[in-house]
Amino acid sequence: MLRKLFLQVITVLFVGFLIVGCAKKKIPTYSQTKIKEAQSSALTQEDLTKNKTSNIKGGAEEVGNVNEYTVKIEGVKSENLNKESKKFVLPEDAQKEIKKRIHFAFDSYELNDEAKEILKKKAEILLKYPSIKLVIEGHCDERGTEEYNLALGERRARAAYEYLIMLGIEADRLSIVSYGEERPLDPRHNEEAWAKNRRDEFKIVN
Amino acid sequence: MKKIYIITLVFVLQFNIAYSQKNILHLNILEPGQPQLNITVIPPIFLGPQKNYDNSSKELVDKFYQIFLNNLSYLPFLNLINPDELVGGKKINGVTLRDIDFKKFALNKIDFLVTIGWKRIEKQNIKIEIRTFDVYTPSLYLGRGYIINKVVHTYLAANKFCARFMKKLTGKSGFFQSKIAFVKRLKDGSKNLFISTPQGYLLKQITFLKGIVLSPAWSWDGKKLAFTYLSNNQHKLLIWSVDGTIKNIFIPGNTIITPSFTPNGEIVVSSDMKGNPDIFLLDEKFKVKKALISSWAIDISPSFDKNGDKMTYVSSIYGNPNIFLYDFKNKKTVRVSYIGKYNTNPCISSDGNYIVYSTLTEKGHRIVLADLKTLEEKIITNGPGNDEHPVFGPDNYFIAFTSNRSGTYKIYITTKDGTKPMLVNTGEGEATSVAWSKTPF
Repeated sequence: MLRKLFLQVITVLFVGFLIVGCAKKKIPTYSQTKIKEAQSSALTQEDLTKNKTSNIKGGAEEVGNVNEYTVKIEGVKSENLNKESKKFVLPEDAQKEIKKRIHFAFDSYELNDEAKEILKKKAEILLKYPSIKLVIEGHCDERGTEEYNLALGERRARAAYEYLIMLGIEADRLSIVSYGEERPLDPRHNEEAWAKNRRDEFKIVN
Repeated sequence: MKKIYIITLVFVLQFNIAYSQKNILHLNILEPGQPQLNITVIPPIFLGPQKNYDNSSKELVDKFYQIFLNNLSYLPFLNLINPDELVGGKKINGVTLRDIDFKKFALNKIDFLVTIGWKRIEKQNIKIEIRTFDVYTPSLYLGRGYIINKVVHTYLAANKFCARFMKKLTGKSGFFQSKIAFVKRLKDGSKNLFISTPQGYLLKQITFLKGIVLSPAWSWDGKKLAFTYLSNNQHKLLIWSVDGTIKNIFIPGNTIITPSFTPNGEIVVSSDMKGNPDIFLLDEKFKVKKALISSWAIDISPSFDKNGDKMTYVSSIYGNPNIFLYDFKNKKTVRVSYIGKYNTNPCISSDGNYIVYSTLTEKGHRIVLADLKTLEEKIITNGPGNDEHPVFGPDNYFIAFTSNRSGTYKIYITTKDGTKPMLVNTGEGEATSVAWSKTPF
């Protein structure tokens, strides 16, 4: 009787383990992984030009109070880092590979074959060096309008982000930002420049 | 006999009232095909006494004259005639009705004659009297006086008079009583917010941030501006208030763009908190209340009519960005844009009758006016370069937009009829992302 009960418990636990283990891996959205971080951020004094800081005043959500607190914490953190850490430096060839840009067609955020190959190589490096984190920047050419380009830049950055996650990179090692048309690589106003400017850039975060 | 006399008197009075009402010049600028009226402004006349004349006062009055002329040049329904070009000359004996021989001006086909008289009064104050005459009646159409003593007064006085004049002539005066906000790129590479009158007067920088400010939107009471701030790999939603404070609003998501205010004062913004840009309504505590537009596609750029019944926005749900209109009463969405394949930056008129947006053509972006009653669309600008980001002024007649037709992005003003765009003087450097307040300054 006791043996029968023991076998039943083992069976239930095993089936439960199988269900949990075999569930489809869901790609977390960037916002799900970043909500907490975003909520703790603030418009710090660093955002302001030196001579006009007095414009910001009062209120729990407002800048003045939060700034004082933030600086204090950051000061402690940076001191500890200086004492303990020896900065990890990614080998030069790996750095070069990570920084390789991917490019897009006009008004598109679809990854072409070349972009996918570049991302696969990045994924290999990221898997090899698990302490490396990336910021993926989405950029657009000047032909679209400013606001729509901000949204399109987000889609471009997210396309690379989701592809890297599918290749096994943890979501919390990646973050995305859209710069729209604000940071062109080539300031000229022709097809060659536009093609260069429709891109994702990859920045290493230590 | 007495009865006949009374009837005749009543008839004559009624005829006179009707006649005088008919002859008060009035234009309905929202209707097409309005005539252009000729107006001339005689240079300021010193009203004495001679011992009170001084050059610094004269300079201030001349400044007022230039601003006044510049103001009138923004009104496409007026044809500004140089008084030096009048046949018979511009000479008048004084600034009042009895001082002027109106026949000369009538023969020059002038509809409105404006005189400016000035004299120095106590201390450094100057009294300016402006009179606008209807040449054909002839009669005083509008007369006002202002006391000024510094340059800023010249702008305020010119705007006040022009607002009254426009109100009497068209029933609208928002142009001279409103303000615009826009983004200027500064020499250090930052982009910050500025405000000014629609002509570029009283220009003032209101944010001093190191990053990039984008997409400002006025609250309906004109006391707040919501905008996106891009810095340190992060988008933030900030709100500037007239008291000079800036509030940082925390909402989930990575891409926080194109904020807008509802007429109730609530904020609507596009965020990718669900994985792609959707349009969300925030509550009074700036927490997400609900999604207004949510799809797999890019949904951005909400804009509301004054009742909050209609919202226009951009969606790429059909593959390319297009303009849509959501009716909150019927809970129905209709596609508005059928011109071209890349349509963005919509703004709905406060009366809910029109939407302006920019469309990408082979020659660059152009401004389109969509009539929501007839569903007709027409391109109202011709470049060259790109004409983008149109916004309605408070009267739903003027439209401000940004254009790089001169090589650098600047702000221009046209009308819903597509009249010749006027440059807004925003100073050196690029000026973009114009937002127009809906209430008086």
